[in-house]
Amino acid sequence: MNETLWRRSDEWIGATVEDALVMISVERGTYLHLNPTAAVAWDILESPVSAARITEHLSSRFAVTPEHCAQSVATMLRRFEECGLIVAS
Amino acid sequence: MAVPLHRAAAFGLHWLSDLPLTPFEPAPPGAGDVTILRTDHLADRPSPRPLNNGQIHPDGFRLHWGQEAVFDMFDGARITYLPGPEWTGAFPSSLFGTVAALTLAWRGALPFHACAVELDGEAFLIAGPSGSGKSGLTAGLIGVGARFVCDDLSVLQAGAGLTISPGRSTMRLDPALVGSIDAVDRAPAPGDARGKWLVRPRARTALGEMPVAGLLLLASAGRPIQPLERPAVLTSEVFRPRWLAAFPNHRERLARILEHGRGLPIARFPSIGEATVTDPSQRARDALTALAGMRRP
Repeated sequence: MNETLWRRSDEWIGATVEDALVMISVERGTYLHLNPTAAVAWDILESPVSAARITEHLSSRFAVTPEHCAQSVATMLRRFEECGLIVAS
Repeated sequence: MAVPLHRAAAFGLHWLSDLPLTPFEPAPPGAGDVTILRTDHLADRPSPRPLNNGQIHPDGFRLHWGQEAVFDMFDGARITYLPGPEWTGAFPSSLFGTVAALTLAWRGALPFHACAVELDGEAFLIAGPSGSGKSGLTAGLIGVGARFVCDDLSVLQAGAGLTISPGRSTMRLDPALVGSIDAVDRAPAPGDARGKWLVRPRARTALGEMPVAGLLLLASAGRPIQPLERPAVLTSEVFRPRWLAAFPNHRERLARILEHGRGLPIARFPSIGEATVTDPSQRARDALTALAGMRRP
């Protein structure tokens, strides 16, 4: 089991707009939007958390199987990391 | 060091200086927020971080304005100026633009490259690239009943909501537009390479501070700007963005833009280069209609 704990990087700040999240990079000035599901994951990432814990939370909240959710969370965390949104704790 | 004899108000602050602050509104006696005084030598300032034509220090910034003057700002409250070889005896326009904007930003304000007008107690920003017709449209709006708030530089405060105070009391206009506006005074802008004039509109807002109700973006036609896009649009209109990004309060400023920008209505309006309506009065009336459409019910 992957026990890596992920946390938000200091580079990005965000604000909720109509259930989504608008994010801006403090260092680069670039913007991105997180959809409502990713915005929930961002909320969870306020404290260091594992992919398994995020999967557990999202699959209990949204109508999705744990297996499918785990795959989606892995993809999302990879994209978050590529964008510099999160770092391994 | 000389005594500050001149008092003026602009951008919500009181400014005291040893030279006239002509583009600002005269202010009655009282304590000042920012004092501007001549110096005969540059202070030895710690930890300089070079940026454009100046540098940033832990307690402020230094700005070299050509050969005219060097400005030193300390803690958002004190500015000194050292005249250079091309000093004219009066402040260069940069004091009332870049230096003032950076000083206000150091104090936590949000400066934008935009004009502003007041309608029934609310302010509307008019933004867009240089040459898009911001000042011309502002002059047109004044002609159809709006009151002047700011030209080219608008400085917002973020508290319970976004608010704005009047900035410089003059507009910088093309000579062709100078006669179109009812003005207290008008004269060629000293040293303006584009030949623009300084015009002080008669219809200036009487309010010291007012809420900002929307932003008119002079741009190409396109789909309506969605709430998700508002903070990015607003950020793209920040005044002197490279300087502000290097300030220690940059993160807090972006957070305020995010927090407040998401609720600020933004509407597109054709820039002067893309306008199909060429009659200035009709263009101003169309802009007035666009502003009315942004008003909260």
